[in-house]
Amino acid sequence: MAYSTFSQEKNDALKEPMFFGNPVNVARYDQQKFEIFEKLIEKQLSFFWRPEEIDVSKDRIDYGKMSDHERHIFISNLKYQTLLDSIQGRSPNVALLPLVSLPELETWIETWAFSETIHSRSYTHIIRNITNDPSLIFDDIVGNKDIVERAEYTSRYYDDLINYQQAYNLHGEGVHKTDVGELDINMHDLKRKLYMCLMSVNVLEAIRFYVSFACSFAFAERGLMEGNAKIIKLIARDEQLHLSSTQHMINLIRTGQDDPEMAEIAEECKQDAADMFKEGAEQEKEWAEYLFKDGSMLGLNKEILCQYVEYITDVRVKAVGIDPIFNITKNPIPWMKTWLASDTVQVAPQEVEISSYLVGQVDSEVNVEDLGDFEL
Amino acid sequence: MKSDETKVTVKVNDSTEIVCNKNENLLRVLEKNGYEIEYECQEAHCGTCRTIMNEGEVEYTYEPVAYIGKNEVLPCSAIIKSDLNLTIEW
Ligand code: FES
Ligand SMILES: [Fe+2]
Ligand SMILES: [Fe+2]
Repeated sequence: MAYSTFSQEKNDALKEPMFFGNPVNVARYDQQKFEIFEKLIEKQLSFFWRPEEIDVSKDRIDYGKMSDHERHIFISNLKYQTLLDSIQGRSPNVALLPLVSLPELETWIETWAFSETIHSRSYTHIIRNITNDPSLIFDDIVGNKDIVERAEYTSRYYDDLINYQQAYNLHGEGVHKTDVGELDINMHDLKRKLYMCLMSVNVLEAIRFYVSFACSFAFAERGLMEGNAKIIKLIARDEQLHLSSTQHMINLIRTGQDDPEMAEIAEECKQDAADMFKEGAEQEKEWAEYLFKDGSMLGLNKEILCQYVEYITDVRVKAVGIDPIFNITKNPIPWMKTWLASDTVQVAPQEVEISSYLVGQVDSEVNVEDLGDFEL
Repeated sequence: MKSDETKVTVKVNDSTEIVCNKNENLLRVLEKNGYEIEYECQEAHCGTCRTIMNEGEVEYTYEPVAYIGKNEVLPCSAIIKSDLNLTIEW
């Protein structure tokens, strides 16, 4: 299954599975096997924003007044977010694009990863504003033991999938002797690695990110770092789409609406997936420990954040057909919902932004009356 | 969103019956009646409010892009169109 950027073989994408069928050739969207990905693309495009539009200048003053342990919480959280989006800005493309067989899904993946690059660029915007030497923060992401550990957890399943598919492309199915030892390469394991990777992406975007959102919003709840919170609110709105998209992929697979072999694999992986969510939740609790090691902040402490981890994990597992792990049904941080609601998203305080609209519906006709009070 | 005078019944967990106007927003109706449904986006794209709907018909104010399973509804954006039968887990 060597990858080709334009397979000349005629194929009917309506009959292809999401992954591991024929590579996509013509990027056409007049017909879709799974329309949902086209809708996700439209929604994501309608959410477009630029970090520079958000004024973060007041944050610098707030940051200057914060105590050392609050700065530790804020900066560590920001480093973690930077790490997660560094991974997300490239990995869906590198890991998933070579495997995809539907044009609408291929384009969704690219649209998704592109929006992650906006997130990454916004961290630079935030960091530049609070310090004259951004390197102090960025360099520590690969130098700090606690952060590096998080990188390992979050990139493991992507790397595993990427390396295995490269070996598959290079050697094909069978047992092969390579410089890294003997490799038994087969499609079943490759599919398994894809399924587990999708689950791990959901852990990343639907749990880990949410824990970090809680920290960002906790400052803003006290009127601090509000520019940062505005940006995080826009990031969160994008992440809601991303997590929905992986839930769609996972559910299409496991309910047998796609590749039948993948459906079997989903069943086979059920326990492993549940364990992965649980492990992810435990890691987030350890992270909460690290964040609050020198003290809590008003409105958020280790206990509440850990309860939130359990609550959000249960919400997420239920959405992909896994039984709740912690049995927490009430959100212990009720103010999160104000920050996560789309209708209150504002870019700048003066101009209320309508949080979603379809670009295609923007009226491009200009009437003379519309220009009523317009003076040059 | 105008609600007309036609009354419909929202049955919850086969025990409680809520009488409300047709065309009301389901999340608001449930909230008014003491059900704290967790929600986030309120625009049918995050899936947080996902609730079991055994029977009934709704229309959406926002076209859902969140995952909705069989027999599920997103109350945040659902306009009640008929009697509903819901299961709400606490
Ligand atoms: S609150 Fe997001 S889908 Fe209902
Ligand atoms: Fe992101
Ligand atoms: Fe994302």
